[in-house]
Amino acid sequence: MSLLEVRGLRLDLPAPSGAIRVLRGVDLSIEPGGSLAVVGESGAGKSMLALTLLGLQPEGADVRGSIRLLGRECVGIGDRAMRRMRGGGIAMVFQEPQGALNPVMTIGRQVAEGPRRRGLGRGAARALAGEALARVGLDPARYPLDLYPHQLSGGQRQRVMIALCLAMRPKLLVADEPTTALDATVQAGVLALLRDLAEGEGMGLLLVTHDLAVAAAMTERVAVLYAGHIVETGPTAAVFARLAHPYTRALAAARPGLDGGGGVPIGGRMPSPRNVPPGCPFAPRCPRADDRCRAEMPPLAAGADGHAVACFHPHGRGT
Amino acid sequence: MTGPLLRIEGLTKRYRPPSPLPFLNGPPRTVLDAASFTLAPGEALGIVGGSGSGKSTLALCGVGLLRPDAGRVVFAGRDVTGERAPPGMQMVFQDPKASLDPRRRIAAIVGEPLRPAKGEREGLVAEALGEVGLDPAVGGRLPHELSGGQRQRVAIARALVARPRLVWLDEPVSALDVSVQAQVLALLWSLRERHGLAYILISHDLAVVARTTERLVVMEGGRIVEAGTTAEVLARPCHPYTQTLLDAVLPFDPKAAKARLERFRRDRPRGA
Amino acid sequence: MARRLAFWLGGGLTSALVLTALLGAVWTPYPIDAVAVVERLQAPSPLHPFGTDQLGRDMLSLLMAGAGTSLLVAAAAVAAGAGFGVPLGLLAAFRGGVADEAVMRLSDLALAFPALLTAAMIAATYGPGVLDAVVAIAIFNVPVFARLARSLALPLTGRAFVQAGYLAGKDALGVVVVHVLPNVASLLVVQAAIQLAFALLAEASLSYLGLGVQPPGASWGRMLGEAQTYMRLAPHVVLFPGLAIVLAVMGLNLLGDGLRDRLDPRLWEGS
Ligand SMILES: Nc1ncnc2c1ncn2[C@@H]1O[C@H](COP(=O)(O)OP(=O)(O)OP(=O)(O)O)[C@@H](O)[C@H]1O
Ligand SMILES: Nc1ncnc2c1ncn2[C@@H]1O[C@H](COP(=O)(O)OP(=O)(O)OP(=O)(O)O)[C@@H](O)[C@H]1O
Ligand SMILES: [Mg+2]
Ligand SMILES: [Mg+2]
Repeated sequence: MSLLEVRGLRLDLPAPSGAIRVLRGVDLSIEPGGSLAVVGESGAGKSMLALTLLGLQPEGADVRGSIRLLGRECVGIGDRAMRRMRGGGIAMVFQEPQGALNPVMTIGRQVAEGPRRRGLGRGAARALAGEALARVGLDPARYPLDLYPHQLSGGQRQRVMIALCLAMRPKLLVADEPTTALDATVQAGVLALLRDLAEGEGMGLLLVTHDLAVAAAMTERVAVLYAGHIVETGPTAAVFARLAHPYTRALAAARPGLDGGGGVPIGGRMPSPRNVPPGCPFAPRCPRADDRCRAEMPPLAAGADGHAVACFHPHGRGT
Repeated sequence: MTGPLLRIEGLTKRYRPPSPLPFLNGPPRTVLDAASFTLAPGEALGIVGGSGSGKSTLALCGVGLLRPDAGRVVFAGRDVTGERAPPGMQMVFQDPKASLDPRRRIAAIVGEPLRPAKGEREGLVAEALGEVGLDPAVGGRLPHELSGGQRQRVAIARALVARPRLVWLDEPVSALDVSVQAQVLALLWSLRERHGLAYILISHDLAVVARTTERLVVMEGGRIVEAGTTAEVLARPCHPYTQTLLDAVLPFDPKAAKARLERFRRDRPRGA
Repeated sequence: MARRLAFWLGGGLTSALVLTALLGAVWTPYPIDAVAVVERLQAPSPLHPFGTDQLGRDMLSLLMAGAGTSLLVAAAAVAAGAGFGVPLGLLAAFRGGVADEAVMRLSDLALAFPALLTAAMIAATYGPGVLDAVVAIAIFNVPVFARLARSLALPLTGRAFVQAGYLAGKDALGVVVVHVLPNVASLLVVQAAIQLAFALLAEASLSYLGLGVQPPGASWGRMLGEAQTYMRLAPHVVLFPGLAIVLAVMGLNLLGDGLRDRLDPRLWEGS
């Protein structure tokens, strides 16, 4: 049984000027112990996808399609049932930790809340919280459990958020940019920890990131999201061996290197979800686009190695 | 040019550790320890350092939003220590969501540092939003209606709209994908060339500081442990901590990246 | 579900109260000073749906007129309380130090004085009247709003978006007006609804004791006070003013609770 199975997921946000079409038919799945990276440009819909999976989409949003979490259908089951699902096996690291932590509760109590809800005693839960914090590099000897979030640095807060999720012992962890505020050493530590949990305890991981290198290091599969569509997906090794979609290529070229190379911005802007042109959403910025691209959306076509790309003119091997 | 634009002298900040009982606190913890450096007009300085090394504290003391326990901040020849937000200085906060008033529209947020008449103001706001790669139409939205990276760009637009002489940027591009990141960094660089903007860029991303700063300061445990030109420090790091930082950068190639992470997992002491 | 009900019920009762007060100000079925001793203490009838009082005045007309007085006194007192209290609380939060200490100790002092005692003191000095009710109730409201505004504003002082206001060139006053007040306003409004209920009750008690509204002005509290000797003879003379007070106070309280849940979903999300 898959931990997560998403089919044809659409998300429309209501707006006075007509619906905002944020997600437009997303398919993905994660097996126990499996990992998937969702990468894409700012505003592509990554956070909205993550939030929708947990039933946390903005109020009044219209969700269609199917989300099966731990074998249960979650679209349209109502708030209360969804809250129970969240308590039992899925956790989320939010993109901006500031808003997700309670400013008037000590970090120890916040991290201990998950274990407490599982029925652990106060002392045991506190010990577990200390352990979880130590695992993300916040040793209680140096960073006592009774600190408040505002007494921590940005990166430390982000790690508290991660510890809080780990202490819940989730079967599936949805992590939205979990390491953006972390320097390379701590980032590597946290990523290594997440991999340990995926491999050792069979935790599923959905990792939202804009950093292709993080995706490359961390996950077995990647999905590239652009303007609410998955435009390229497949096993990480296969995708990185041949970046087929012109958008993924451009994304890779934009990455700055330590030697001062790279760093080429992609010209133009991603279309706003309020006002979506017909055809491939990348066509206006794509050097390979022709009239067909501007008229119809290319389907996501899979090759033999499971590497799928939604493009009429994908890059081949070596081009 | 005469004299530096900014001189930081021995800035120090201490916090008392929390304790269940008042009066029983242990000795205060020094999170910023006698940091000193200078910045010439139009210069770009990078600050790198591990999580919790005191980078944000240094920035907040620098713009006067936090009162240092010791040390001086001299800006444009004037002692501004402890003066809240001296004119000509701006800052981009580390957590963009927290730095945007949840009840104000984006146009009002970005236009806040501007003083001039209404018509001109709208044009400047639209221009500032365009510069960071946002559609000026987002001006009518509220912060929660934007994505994380869009909010981060709003914060940058606000800091730059009034054309300050110096801007502190605390992890300004951490939430941005590489393409927008490149655009924002290019914008900073061009403002520096055209308007003589000086900036201090705090980042944990060595690749970012490598391409956008001339000088680099490395912090660890509240202290500046290494300083020099960016190229030199990155090419020949002297301090072991700088070396570690460089080592941990993940390469782009999945095999190499996985191998790097594997090595990290092996070397890491259990439970750390 | 229950929360939504509270909001609508509270809103309905409160609107009914306000409409009655507005109508009562321009029109009542009978003039409220139409004394007719022969018609005294009549039970409810089609002519006088709520009966008549000990002086033969139409109870419905009195209740309608009284609604205006009660609401006006309560609203004036709460407005004055909020008008002084909120700025004081914000000052305390943003200045800290001596200003904070002074505001907090003064509000302790004001809270220690029961409104009743204050009203009695003012009445003893200046003679009884509507104004002492307003002043006495307002004095009780100032510290309530000061404390609430302070506690709501305090966590905002260190928030990045407030600090960003300083960077944009605003001074403390500008920051408070533009960034702090709008972000605490909703909870202040909630508190105002609840304080209005308290004030209504306080006005009734003061008038009941003869300290508030003076004849010939109509007031629910006064109606209760004057009618209590006839309670055995004609229960409706206390029943209706009593019911009016209960419904008005309940309506405002429900409205306050309902508003709180609507405006601040955080309060119940975690539970
Ligand atoms: N509440 C909302 N109302 C209207 N539009 C919204 C709302 N929330 C998000 N959006 C829009 O939906 C799109 C997708 O947002 P989302 O937060 O998923 O982006 P993202 O991929 O996570 O980007 P980032 O990398 O910048 O965080 C954006 O264009 C954003 O402006
Ligand atoms: N209000 C406070 N009270 C006590 N300690 C604090 C407070 N604010 C910060 N600290 C401590 O000061 C240290 C430095 O914090 P700072 O925010 O400057 O780090 P940073 O270098 O910006 O880290 P990051 O990269 O994670 O943002 C941290 O260890 C933090 O725990
Ligand atoms: Mg996001
Ligand atoms: Mg920081």
